[in-house]
Amino acid sequence: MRYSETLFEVATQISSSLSTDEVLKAIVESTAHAVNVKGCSLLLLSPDKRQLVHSASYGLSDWFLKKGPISADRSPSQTLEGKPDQVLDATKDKNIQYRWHVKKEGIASILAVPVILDNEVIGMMKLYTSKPRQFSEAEISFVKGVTSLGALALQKARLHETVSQDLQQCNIDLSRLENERQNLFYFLSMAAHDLKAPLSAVQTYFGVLLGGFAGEIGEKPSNILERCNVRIIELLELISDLLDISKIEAGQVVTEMKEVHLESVAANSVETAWALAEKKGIELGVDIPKRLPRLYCASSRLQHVLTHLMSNAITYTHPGGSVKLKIVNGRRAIQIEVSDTGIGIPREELRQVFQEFFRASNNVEAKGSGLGLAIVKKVVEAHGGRIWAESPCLETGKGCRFSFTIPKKEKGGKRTSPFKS
Amino acid sequence: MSEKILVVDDDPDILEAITLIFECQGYQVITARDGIEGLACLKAEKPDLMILDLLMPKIDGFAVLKELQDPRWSEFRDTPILILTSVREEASRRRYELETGLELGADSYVEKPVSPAIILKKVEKLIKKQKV
Repeated sequence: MRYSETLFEVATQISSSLSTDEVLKAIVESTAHAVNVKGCSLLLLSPDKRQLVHSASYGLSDWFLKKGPISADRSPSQTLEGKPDQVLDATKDKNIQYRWHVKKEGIASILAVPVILDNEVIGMMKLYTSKPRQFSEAEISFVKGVTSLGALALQKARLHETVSQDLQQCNIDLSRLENERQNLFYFLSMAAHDLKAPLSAVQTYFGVLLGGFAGEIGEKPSNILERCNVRIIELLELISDLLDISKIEAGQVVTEMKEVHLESVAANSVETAWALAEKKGIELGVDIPKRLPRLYCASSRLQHVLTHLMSNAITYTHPGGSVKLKIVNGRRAIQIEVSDTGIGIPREELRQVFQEFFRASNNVEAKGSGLGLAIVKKVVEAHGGRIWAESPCLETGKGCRFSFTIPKKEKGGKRTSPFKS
Repeated sequence: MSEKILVVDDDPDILEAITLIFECQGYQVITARDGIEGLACLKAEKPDLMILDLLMPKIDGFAVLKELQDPRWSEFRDTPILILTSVREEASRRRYELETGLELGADSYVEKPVSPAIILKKVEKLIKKQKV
């Protein structure tokens, strides 16, 4: 009865948040009380397995514990082979290394039970009596049981140590990676900026020449210049897109967020789209509700998303077709839709449109960097929103429709989680 | 009398291109290669409008804007300024807003590469607004 209570008590302590030292100390103390002996000690083998070291003890004097190094081969030999061993008169047994100390400490008999972890003896639990006595089978079984629990506590400690070492290593690796990523980001932004400056100058000149600001030019040179201009624009866009991707990946969108009016963001995008639609002979419809709440977002990023979706829609719609921007003020989020009557996207490719460098198979004259929609998706997701495409548009049965959501800001400053149903 | 425009940018090709655009439309154009030169020109020439690049060596556009907030420059408080920047260079935009306390409105900046039609329209608009 007393044994099972003790085992239960020890097991409870192991599963508690006590430190390993505290658990081991409780184990030796409980064991000594349960078996009614003078003292009890848990000795562990040194890493080279040549010595035994007192890890936790009860009922023994400091003087006895510090008597000197204990050779493993002078300990009860059976114990190191994995079996319990007892010595009736420890003051006389030749296997006992410090017989004089044992006598002075008032020890008579010793019971040694191996501590086994992963099929390997890692130490022993020793019980010391003040009067010579033979340990019963029941006592030995109990001590074996409590020793197993001790081994468990040690295993837990070792696992904990391994885990915290791994964790520490992971943290070191992580901060190094983060550092390298920051360096790469810095390098990319510098490179992109330096690449953009000369291209900007060249493109500005093209505008000057093509606009006739430097005098009239013939039709043929003008056509060639126009084509050069298009290629330079492509290159500039590619560089800007690469720079954007690296910035978004580095989490910059979140740092740019503030409260903005969606109307003004949309108005700027619509202005750009108007010019493009007019030039191509496409009807542009705008359906924006009067009162929209202020949104917590990175306004220039969001504007880029809107402009990109609308200019894409115009690009892939034939003259005479139409493009529509619709904003719906939902309960939890604002939903923004851009639909067109254009060439659409093959159904089986809809899922891939947001992938980097993806081109739809019906997009024969591919334009742009191939990163546009990937950036759009990253920006929407950085805002906690969702984006999807459908083709044909469910409402008109023509072209395609891109829709995305931006969660509304909750009262008290928190934003609606996109994961809530 | 034709309007006088001061263009401050460290890129000589951007200066040349903008000069061509505005001279063609009958504007008088003065150019400066950095902030110090730009401020000197502003004082000496008293232009009707200044086009200012933000990222420049020596005194950059931000420093020019800061300097102009000093009472010594109160004479030029109402001279409209058109910022030359890239809207996708978000860092510049935020720094502008942080340093001047002003929001960079759509009418007050032009993106590089510069489109002749857009820069002409914005300059016209700013000058007209100033005259009213």
